[in-house]
Amino acid sequence: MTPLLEAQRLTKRYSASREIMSGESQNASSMIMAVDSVSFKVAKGETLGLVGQSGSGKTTVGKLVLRLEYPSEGRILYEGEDIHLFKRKRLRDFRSKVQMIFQDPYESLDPRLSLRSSLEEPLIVHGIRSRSEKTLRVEDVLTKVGLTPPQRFLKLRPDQLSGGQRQRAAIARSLILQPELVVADEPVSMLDVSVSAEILNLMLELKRSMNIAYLFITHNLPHAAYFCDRICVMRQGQIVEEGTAENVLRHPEADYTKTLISSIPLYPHQ
Amino acid sequence: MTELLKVEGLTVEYALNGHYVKAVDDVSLTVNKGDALGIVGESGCGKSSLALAIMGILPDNARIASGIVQFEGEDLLKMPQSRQRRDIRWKRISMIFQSSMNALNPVYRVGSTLTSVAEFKRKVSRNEAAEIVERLYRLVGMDPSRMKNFPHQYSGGMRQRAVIAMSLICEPPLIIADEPTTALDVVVQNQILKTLRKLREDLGMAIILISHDVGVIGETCERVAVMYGGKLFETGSAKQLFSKPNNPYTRALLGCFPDLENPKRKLNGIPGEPPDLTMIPPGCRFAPRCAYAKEICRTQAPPIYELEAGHKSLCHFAKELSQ
Repeated sequence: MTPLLEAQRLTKRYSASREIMSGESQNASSMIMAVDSVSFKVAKGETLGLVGQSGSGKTTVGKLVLRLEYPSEGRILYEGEDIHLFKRKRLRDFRSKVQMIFQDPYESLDPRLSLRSSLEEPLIVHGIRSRSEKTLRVEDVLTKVGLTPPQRFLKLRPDQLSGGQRQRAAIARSLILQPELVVADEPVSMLDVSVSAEILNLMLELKRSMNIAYLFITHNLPHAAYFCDRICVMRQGQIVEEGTAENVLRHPEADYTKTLISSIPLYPHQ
Repeated sequence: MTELLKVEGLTVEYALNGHYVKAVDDVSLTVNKGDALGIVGESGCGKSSLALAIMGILPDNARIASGIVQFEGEDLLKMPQSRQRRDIRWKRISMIFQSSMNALNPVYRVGSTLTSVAEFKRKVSRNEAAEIVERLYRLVGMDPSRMKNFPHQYSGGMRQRAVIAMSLICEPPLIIADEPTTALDVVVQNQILKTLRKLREDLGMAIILISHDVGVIGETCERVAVMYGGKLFETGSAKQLFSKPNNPYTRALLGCFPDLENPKRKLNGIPGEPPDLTMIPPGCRFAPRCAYAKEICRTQAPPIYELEAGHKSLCHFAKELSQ
């Protein structure tokens, strides 16, 4: 079966000017390998976690998958087709099927727009103009993300919501076009711990009810293990370990994964 | 054990639209010499305001409505600011702030900032001050040659180490660390926590560590206070509190962290949101989110219940929960 998404030897180099390089590496090559020959597959309805420290290249992989960046080498296949060959209608279709959730819902929602306007915008862009259908879909998606009753939230702007509600709204926006793949880049790292568990559970529930596949990008290995079917551990642009969530966490093989796990602070009896 | 810091009935209020909002509400705690006390709570629970109140550096729109902050036998709240500045801050109590980027002046070399503090606070020559800073750099695991760099040339972890080094300049008996590792990734966080633990062993200072991460607190502190909506909900030794959490909020909070042995165990989260301090519900402020809440919780403020020596819980049903 063709996977939903496949990255084949994906590489992204950024040129680095001397100023931004730190003292020691001034003589190194002036190109930074943000992503270095990374390959992975995501099946329909599957959740793949990309885990790594800051600077490991995980966010760049997300941007490449979303076609927000062009790879220096390698290909990204969506349902078996190279996403960089997509034109017009196919690209538009791809844009509606692949959505994203970012870390900071305050920055990913327009502060001047009501939730209704924010949520209707993607519908309008994708040609849904009927007023009744727009209302129906907006109310439906708000209910799905737990902002109920939806009528109460339609007129609110992001600053009138709490952090957890804002992230729910951002999730609603990513779901309104009924995507097949959602790239979630640190979706809970800005939220309070009590709220982040709720948001992870919501995303899991939506995965089941809407058969969504996720590319879940995080530095938090326990969260990834909880949320994902499989995990890729990234370090300096490369995947150093790949496996089922349970195996990566409980029986890590790469030294780097072991370091990551031993660094997780634990309270007694955890 | 010698008592170092005693906070009693401390209430901190912020002026907001003509009203006063209680950010810290009747908080009492003690820190003995060499102790490590962890304060754990979510954003807006008042843990940072508590730290600022102890340091005497609350913003202008805040006031201390009641309570005492006694440090080495003296009431800091009654002490003039000038004396606090001269004799207490840096020398007796220092603070490590969360955002180390903002704690270092971007236009000065990091070493120069630290050397100035040492020169001024320890009344030594510039050269001696530089030697002190060099020694501290080694102590926190940094190469003194990096003193000549500017903050932007440091990584996040190095900046945090520099700020820790700065807090150690006068070797104060108490350090307050407010989310010292929050902006860092786990590997660097682990190094910083190790550094803090080692410094405590070597120098015997007491630390108040503030964090939202129970793991960070659990690895570093022997005593723990759980804060919610401006109040201490549970206090006790780390052992008491983590093995026998006796407050519904503590239990719920622990349930939000994944179990590494069993990563797929369902995380429970806590429905709803932390309380809006401008609209504190009558009764217990956790009641709207609490799985155990009964009628009395919504109408009457809960009492503090002492389960065993040193282990206290703010809950109507603390006794029932302990059985």
